[in-house]
This record gives sequence, structure tokens and C-alpha cells, in this order.
Amino acid sequence: MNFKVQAEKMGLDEKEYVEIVDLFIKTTADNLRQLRSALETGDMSKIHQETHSLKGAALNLGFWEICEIIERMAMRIRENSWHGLSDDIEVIQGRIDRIADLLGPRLTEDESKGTRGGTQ
Amino acid sequence: MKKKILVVDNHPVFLKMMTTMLDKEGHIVLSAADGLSALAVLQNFMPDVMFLDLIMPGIGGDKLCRMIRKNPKLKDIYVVIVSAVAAEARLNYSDCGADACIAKGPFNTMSKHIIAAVEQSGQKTSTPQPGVIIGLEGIYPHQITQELLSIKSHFDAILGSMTEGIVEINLEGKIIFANPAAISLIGLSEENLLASNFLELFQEEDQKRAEELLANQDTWSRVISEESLFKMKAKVISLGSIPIVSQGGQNLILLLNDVSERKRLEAQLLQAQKMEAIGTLAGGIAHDFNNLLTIIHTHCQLALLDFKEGEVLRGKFEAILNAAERAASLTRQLLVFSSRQVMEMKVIDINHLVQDLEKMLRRVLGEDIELITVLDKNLGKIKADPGQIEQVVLNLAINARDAMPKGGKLIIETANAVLDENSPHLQLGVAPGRYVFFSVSDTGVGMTPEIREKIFAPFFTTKEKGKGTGLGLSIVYGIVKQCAGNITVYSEPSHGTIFRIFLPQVDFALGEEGQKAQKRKLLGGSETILVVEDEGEVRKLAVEILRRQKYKVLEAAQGEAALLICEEYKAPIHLLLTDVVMPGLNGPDLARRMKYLYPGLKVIFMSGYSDKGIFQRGILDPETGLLQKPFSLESLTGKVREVLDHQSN
Repeated sequence: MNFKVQAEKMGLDEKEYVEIVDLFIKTTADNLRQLRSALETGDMSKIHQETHSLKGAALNLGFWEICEIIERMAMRIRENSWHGLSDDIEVIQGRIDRIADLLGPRLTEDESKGTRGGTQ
Repeated sequence: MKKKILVVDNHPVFLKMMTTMLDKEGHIVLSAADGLSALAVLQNFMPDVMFLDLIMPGIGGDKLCRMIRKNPKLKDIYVVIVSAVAAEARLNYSDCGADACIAKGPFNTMSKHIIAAVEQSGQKTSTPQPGVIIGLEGIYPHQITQELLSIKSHFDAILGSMTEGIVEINLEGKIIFANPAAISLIGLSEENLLASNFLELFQEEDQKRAEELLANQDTWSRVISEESLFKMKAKVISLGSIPIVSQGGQNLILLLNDVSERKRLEAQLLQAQKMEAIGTLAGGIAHDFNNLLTIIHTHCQLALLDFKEGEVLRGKFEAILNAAERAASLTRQLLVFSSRQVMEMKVIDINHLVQDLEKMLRRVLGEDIELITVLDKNLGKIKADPGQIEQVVLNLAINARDAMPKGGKLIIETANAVLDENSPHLQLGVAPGRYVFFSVSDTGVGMTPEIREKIFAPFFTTKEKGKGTGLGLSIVYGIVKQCAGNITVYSEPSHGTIFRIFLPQVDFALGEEGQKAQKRKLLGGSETILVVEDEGEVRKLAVEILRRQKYKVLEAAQGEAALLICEEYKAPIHLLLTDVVMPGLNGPDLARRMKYLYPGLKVIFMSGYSDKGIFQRGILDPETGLLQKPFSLESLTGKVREVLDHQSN
């Protein structure tokens, strides 16, 4: 994954893009935690809410693979095939871990240079 | 051109991308994670452009947009909906007043549309292709989004059709959701309701109490105010709560029920039960009291027949007789209140009755009070005891007079009325239908709500001691109820009072109202009369009086003994004069059995009150005679002759 190319596509510089992806990883961790919990309790509404949120962010950042897995999850839910859902969550987790691994050195690099604060 | 922009979205990644990109473009950008936070930002920041997510916790983008459009200070902001459900929801964003809508998608393509929208914001009138969602190319409907929208639309439909008001508040007590029932119950528009403080909806005296209840987490998850209700404007509200954990923290869902009508009916039922209980008590006492009064009264009358004019004792007996008559009058009033007075029903025209009473009313009201009558010429007829309806008018007029010590106006109005299920005047126990309405209103001192609640209770009076018995309005209430009618009162301090009475209309021809009973002399005859009365002294008196008038009289203490006499007595019996309530066989049952033996038998019931189980609703068959206790020599002999003559005709 080439962060510089991705950043250029989005009209951002690399550092900005890295910050956004880092935020994506953090918020996604919460989404996945909520999703696992909703699967245990069978809370359909929560499952839809969390997958929708996850899909929106992945789509914004162009993480198509993750979007495809979420669509597959939707298919499973519609067909009442719940047993595959946990596996899908772990696949998403795997993809995000890989992005995090790639992002790690960039973040360390940025931190050593000092990052710019977010807008509020 | 540098612009001020507010981005509202609950997803941190989207917020970060938007603020980074717009910041780079040189704009001043603030962000908010939900609708309520956005409203807080807008208090100190006036943006040129707002980008709103559509689906957010609490106040969503569409509702927030409506609120902005309704606010004169904010209404000109260029509002762009940025939606992740554009491909699935078939949005009509102009419904909520937004200027444009951009589909959420890959940021590299979406960002171009965002920048274009910011540039567009200065030229609002030339918005291209209104209603078209920008950036849909390359975005396909997603199953997961459709599922989410489907769930949302189901919940929306359920919440929208519920009759219970549902409000969601955040930890600060701000309203972030209200269903249509809650909006209607509270009486504010959704735009004004959202983001407002929930506690401020209650009347001031209830706010503190509501605050304490909501602050106490032990009371959550249940109805917290079934006994201790809250007042919201003119409504009485019961409050239930369900805690809920949302993305923004712990919120509270509140269930609001308008229990005003239920409470009103409960109060009515309580009042009716109270009146019924007092009526039962009064009726029971009056029954025995009437027997005693009959003995005192008739013995006095018999004694007076033997006294010569000028004898010393005559005056004393006349005083006893006078006191007995006053006591009888009081007993009658108690019976009227308790709806146990036997009524002699006639078809009457209230207009005629009011016109007949006008002269007397003017005398009673005095010179300082102007009497105005507004009578409907096409007024329907009612079936009632004319004497009792006169008493209703008179009692209300006296009440009005006393409320106008410095003079004023008394208005009596009549009209036809139809009460249906929705009529505010239709009260507990009153059937829908056609009614004759008459009202008595005054311009007097009026009443407080506390006094208004008690006015029909017997012996309640606001008059000085000795100036009122406290029975006047109780009697009015009793008469109206016994006529299957309804009475309501509206009053405000210093603004007068209006009593409205509704009596069922009838289609029969006019009866003999206005015919005053002829005062009869002591009349006699030769027919055979069977007197049945369990109270020995009363029976003896009746027998003695009738024998004086030359009737042939048989007597029995009970119904069963009377039937034995019938078996043994071979000659005809013309008249049965019987008590109504007796141990064993009661009066009406005895009369029914005796009519088998003597088909032409005439019957007179002697009674102080009507037992509802014996006479239906206290209304007597007009073919049957009734002798009110306590009776006098004239009333007994007169009634006997009247019934015997009527039937022989």
C-alpha cells in the first residue's frame, strides 16, 4: 500500500492521509468490538448500525476489500447464515492489522517530526 | 473566497477528512459530532455553509436542517446534506429545506463535489438541477445500508403510530427525539421542541420534582409518576422512563401519557360514589323518619278535628303540626338529593315552566338583579316531575342571587342539544343523544376550583351560618341525575358562574304540567280497602282515617298476611293501599299477586322514597297511585278517592 499515492488521489499530503488512516484504525477497533458484542447478543439493529458505519469510513478511504467483506456479511445476515459472520469480522480485523503494520513506521516518523493538531 | 463552514457528522474519520481538506482550501472550519452539538456551535458561530450527515444519533440531518430553516437568524445558511444512504434511500432532500445533497463515496471524487458546493454557496439562486443528488456516479446500493434503512423505517412507523408520547433526552436534559404523539401532547412544533430543555415543559411547581425523579437512577426503567402526576400546560401527565446507552452516552427515553381524561373520569366516579353513599344513608334515615312524621302529623290532624276554635291546646297542636311539616320538608329534600324521591313524571316544556316562574323569580331576585331569559322557540320536550324542575330553576336562581350581593344579571337560556361521544359535556353515566339544554348564569363573584369541586356535596355551603342549608345544589344535582340528565358548572372568581343542565328529550305530547293539584276536602266512600303496612302506628292511623270516611277497611301488617285475608274475604276488594318496603313480600309484588285475584284492583303505594330495585329509577307507572309519606288527612283521603274514581271512569 503506497500511502503517498493514496494521499495524492485524495488531494491530501501524505502526513494528513496518515493521520486520517490512523483515526480510521482507532475508530474501526471500536466498531469491531461493538460488532462482536452485538453478534453474541443477536442485536440485529446494532449489527446493521456498526457495519454501516464501518463501510462508510472504508468507502471514504477507498478500502474496497473491507467494503466487499461487509457486503458479504450483509448477504449472510439476509440468508440467516450467522456462523460465517465471526469469521468475516476476523478477516476485517486482519486487513486492518495489516494497514496498521504498514502505517506504524510512518507514524513513528511523523511523531519524531511532530504532528499538526486537528481542526475543531 | 474564504468561507465559514460547519461540518456535522458522527463519524470521526469523515469529520477529520472534511476538516483537513476544507482547512487546506483556506476556509474556517468547525465540526460537530451530532445535531445537538451543532446547535450549540451555532450559538456563537454563523457559518456560510453547513455539511450535514443525514443519519446521526439524536437529531438527524433532516431535522437539523428544518430547525435551521425555521430559525430567522440561521435560515440563510447554505445547507448541504452529505449522505451515505443516497443510493439506497431515494432522498428528496428539498423536503427538509436543504440546498443540495452529495452522496458519500470515495473521498477523492466526493471532495470535488464538496469544493464545488462551497463555491456554489455564494450563488444560491443559481443552484444547478435542484433535487438531483450529486456524486451518485459509481456508487451502487449496498445491501447493508438498505437493511439499516428498512429497520429505521420500521421503527419510525411504529413510533409514529404509537399513542404514547415518547421523548428521548440526553444527560443534560435536552430533547433529541420526540414522536408525533409527544409533539401533539406537548403542543410545540418539532423544531421548537428538539434541543429544548425537557424540564422546562412542566409547570414551574413541578419542575423541581421532575428533576429529582429524573436524577434518581433507582426510579429509572419504570413508571415513575403513576401516583405523583405532573402538570404540563392544562394536561396531567404520567411519566415513565427507560434508560438507553447510545453513541453519545447514557440517554433517557421518557414515556408520556396524557391521563387528564382518566383523572377527570376518576374524580367523577369518586364524586358519584360519594353522592351515592350519602344518598343511601339519607334515604334510609328518611324512610324511618317519614313513618314517625306520619304518626306525629296525622295524630295532630286528628286531634285538631276534635278541638274547638279557641281551645288552649289547639295552638300547641298547631305548632307541633307546623314543626312536623317543616321536618317533612327537610326529609323530602334529602330524598330528592339521594334520587330516591318518587317522581310523578310528565312531559313538559321548560320554556313554559320558566315563563310561569318569571314573576316569582323577579320577586326572589330583587330589584338589583336583572333577569334575562333567552328561550329557544323550537325547544324539545322533556319528561320530568314539573315540581322538581321548578325547584332546580329556583335553587339555581337563589344561588345566583346570593353570588351577586351588589346586583348583576341572571340569564336563563334554553336550547336543543345533541351530546355525542366526543362532547365535553357528556359525563360518566350519561348516554349520547338529544337533550334539552338550559343554563342559568350569573355575573356574580364566581368560585375557586376548590369550591367548585364541592358545591354538589350535601351540607356544603359558603354562606353564613343560618343562611343556607347546603342542600340547594345537592337537590339540583339529585333531580338532574334522577332524570338521567347531566349538570356541569363553569366558574371563575370575579367572572360569574354558569350551570349547564342537559335533560333527555322526549317525543311525547305535552302532559298536564301547570295543572295544580286541587286541594281536596276530606273525601270519603263506601268501597273496600285493604291497608298493608308493617309500621303499626302508621297502619292504625290510615285505617282510622279511612274508616272515619266510611270506607270498609281491612288491614294486614305484611304481604303474606294480606294474601291470607284475600283468601278468606269473600266480598270484592276495590283498593290496595300498601307500603312499598316491607319484610317478606314487598308492596309491588303483593299488588301483582292480588291483581290475579281481583283483576280490577286499584293500588296506591305509600312510600317515603323509591327503592331502585322496586320502582325502576324511582319512576312510577302513571296508572298507579302514590301517596307520599308523611301523608296528611287530605292527601290520604284525596289520593284514595282520586285513584278509585280514575279507575271507575
